[in-house]
Amino acid sequence: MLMSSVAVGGSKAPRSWRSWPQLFTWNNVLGSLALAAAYLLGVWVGIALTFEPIAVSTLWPPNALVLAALLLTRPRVWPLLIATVFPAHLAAEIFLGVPLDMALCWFASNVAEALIGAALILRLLGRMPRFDRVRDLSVFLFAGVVAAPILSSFLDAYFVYLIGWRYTGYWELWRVRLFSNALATLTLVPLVLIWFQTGTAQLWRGKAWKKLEAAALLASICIVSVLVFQRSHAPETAAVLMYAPLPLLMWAVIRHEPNVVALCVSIVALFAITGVLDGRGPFIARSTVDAAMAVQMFLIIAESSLLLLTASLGELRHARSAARRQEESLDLALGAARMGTWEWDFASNRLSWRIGRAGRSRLRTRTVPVAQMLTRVHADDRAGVQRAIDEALAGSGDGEVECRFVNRRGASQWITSRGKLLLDRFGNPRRMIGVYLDTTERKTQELQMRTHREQLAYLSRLSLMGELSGALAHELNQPLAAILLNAQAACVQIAAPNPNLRDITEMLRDIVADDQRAGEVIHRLRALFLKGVVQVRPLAVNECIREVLALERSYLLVAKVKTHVQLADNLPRVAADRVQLQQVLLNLIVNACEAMSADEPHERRLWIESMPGGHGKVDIVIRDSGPGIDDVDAIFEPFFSTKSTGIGLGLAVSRSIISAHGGRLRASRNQPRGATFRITLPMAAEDDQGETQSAAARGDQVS
Amino acid sequence: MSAAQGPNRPLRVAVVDDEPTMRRSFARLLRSTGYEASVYSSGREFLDACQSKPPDCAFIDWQMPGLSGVEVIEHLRRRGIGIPVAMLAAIDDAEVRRTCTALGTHCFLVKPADGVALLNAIESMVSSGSVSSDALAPATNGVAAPIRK
Repeated sequence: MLMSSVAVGGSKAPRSWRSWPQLFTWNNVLGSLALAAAYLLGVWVGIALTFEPIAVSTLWPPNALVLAALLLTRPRVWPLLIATVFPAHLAAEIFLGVPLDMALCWFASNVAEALIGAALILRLLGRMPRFDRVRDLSVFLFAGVVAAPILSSFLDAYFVYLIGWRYTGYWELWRVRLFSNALATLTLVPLVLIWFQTGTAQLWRGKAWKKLEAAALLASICIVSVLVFQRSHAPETAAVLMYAPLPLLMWAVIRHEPNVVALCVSIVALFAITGVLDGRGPFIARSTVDAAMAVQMFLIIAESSLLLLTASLGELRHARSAARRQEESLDLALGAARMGTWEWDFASNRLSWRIGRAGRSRLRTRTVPVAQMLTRVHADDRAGVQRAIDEALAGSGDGEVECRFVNRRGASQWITSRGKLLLDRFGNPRRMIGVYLDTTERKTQELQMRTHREQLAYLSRLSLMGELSGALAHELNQPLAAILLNAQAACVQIAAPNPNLRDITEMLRDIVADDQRAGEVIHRLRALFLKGVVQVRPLAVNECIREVLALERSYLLVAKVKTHVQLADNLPRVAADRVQLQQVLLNLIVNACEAMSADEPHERRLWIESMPGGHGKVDIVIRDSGPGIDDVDAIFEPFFSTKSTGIGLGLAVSRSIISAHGGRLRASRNQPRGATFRITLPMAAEDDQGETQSAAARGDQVS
Repeated sequence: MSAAQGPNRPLRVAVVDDEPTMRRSFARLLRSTGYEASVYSSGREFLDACQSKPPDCAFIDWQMPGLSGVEVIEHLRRRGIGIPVAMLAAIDDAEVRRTCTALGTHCFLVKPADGVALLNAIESMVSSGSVSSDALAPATNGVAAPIRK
């Protein structure tokens, strides 16, 4: 814990020279003293693990401890650590009877090793290594276990050669020291760093059975290590027995965190080395030096392999955990957006989908055969879904479809789905993936809004028809009156002594024609009065305009408005509901006539034109010579009215009708007087165009 | 009223209506029942004709382009032509009835008007004495019996 305090203290220290006093904080000083104490302990352990007559230990902990301390602190704290370790080193060495010059040289080589290792690791990683990362571990193995011991061992062996204290040959010293320090670094640095990284708090966290398992594992490792390394074995079994702890170590690697692995490895190393020192265990050799060499190599190979495995598994766990977190975030986002994902595997012809659920951590994934899924699509939408699938498979590769799914209770759910086709490397369709959005709420609202809009439009239409009732009655009465008179005239003729059959035939012909005319009027009126379903279909606007003018003929007549009609030829059909478009036209014409009612009859003029609107649109323009509009925006507000009669909904409803058709209704002032209303409607789909409107571009003058 | 008209000549009835079928059918009925019918498609045309040869009575449509029925009557009265006039309208409107009464219209008929009602209106105009005495109203002779109940 003190070490971690050092790390914290060091990390906070500013770089400028004025901050030097901050280096000597309690944390830093106590941390340094703790390192010195650990160093002394390390020397004692190292001496205990030293084979006579070689001056070098089998496992020399002090260097590894300094390296661990350097890695735990910021470089600017390093001088303090080294300065504190120096007296501890000197005291220990002199106490052990090492000559002063030799002790000084060893300090230099030990510190050099720790500094080389720490500097290289920081240089390559930029931070303390993590032992659950393969890259970090590789850097640690290269810099701390291989490069630093190799380089410092040259120095160390040279110092011994110079001073000549217990000199047994340069390369032998180099080799023994290299293995000793490499093993110490490999065993102790991960242990120290991992325990400082994770802290002791982790020991008390987690599930009880997991802690029990770890305790059982450690106990088993101790027992097996004692049985294997602390007892003498027959030469035949010795070579095999050294691998006995491996299953337990693998268990640690697979089931536990790196801290438990490091601890297990240290226990095995300790028992193995002490066993060799006592002349027991499977590492039997001609000399203790060879035995020490064997145990060192065994441990280095075993430990580095285990650490690599730990790192690989750690990365796998991290990747899994990241994937799980992403999945949870995705699920949360999908749930919040009322979305889900799906996948259709062509090999199995099954469809899996995941339902994002807000507020729940678990995803619901379901898989059904595609055919079964299709049976749940609403019968009216099935063809559309099949078409979208066929189009995606035929080449577009992706597509979007909106459909209803019917659940077992018969309730419908609106779904908007977007999919993408994935091909294998030969270009064959392999599967389709996609997302879907539950649009039931939006659809319901849209439906309600549409119903309201249609109801309002209907009421407005009824009100308009009320206003037009007089003119409409005239329109209907004309043919009826003629029929009656013709019929009565025919009766009189037939009763005459010499009936004129030619006259009678003409009368009957007129009756038929007038009856047809009256029928047409009734047919048109019926459509306007009926509260029918709105049916958006390809519609020829010119035909629609003519029908409206036929209905309003009497009205225009009474209003004494001179009407000029100019309909463009070859207009594309628009996608519209006939009755609603007629309602808008009727309303605009009535408004124009009413606006002109105060003018002198010869001044009352109305122009009705149809023309291409550009970008595949059609414009209908209704222009009058009235007094014009003061506020071109306010007139579309509901309940805005300049008339003494009417509720002022006509234009608001007209605009909403045109907007619902994807078009626009705009008003503008004319110069010097009058107003223009322009309806812009989008054309119907290309397939629905059929023959273009055959209206001649003639200047029809209706009245 | 022209002095040139002889005795017992058929009664001349004018029909002023912009609607061709209405003019045609009304004229047929009149001719079938022994009247002399003259038809006009506008008020202006009728007024011009009245200058030289005014009819004995006239049926005028209320709603017409150009001059309306009311305006035609006003013009007639202004010119001193006092023939009896029946007004034909598509709607039975109290306001229109009042206007017609004020202008001295003989009667007000709503379309579709029954042929019998039209013939009765003629008879009524004749019997009121405002029609020239030398003219004959043949409908009263039973020619129109097939359509009378």
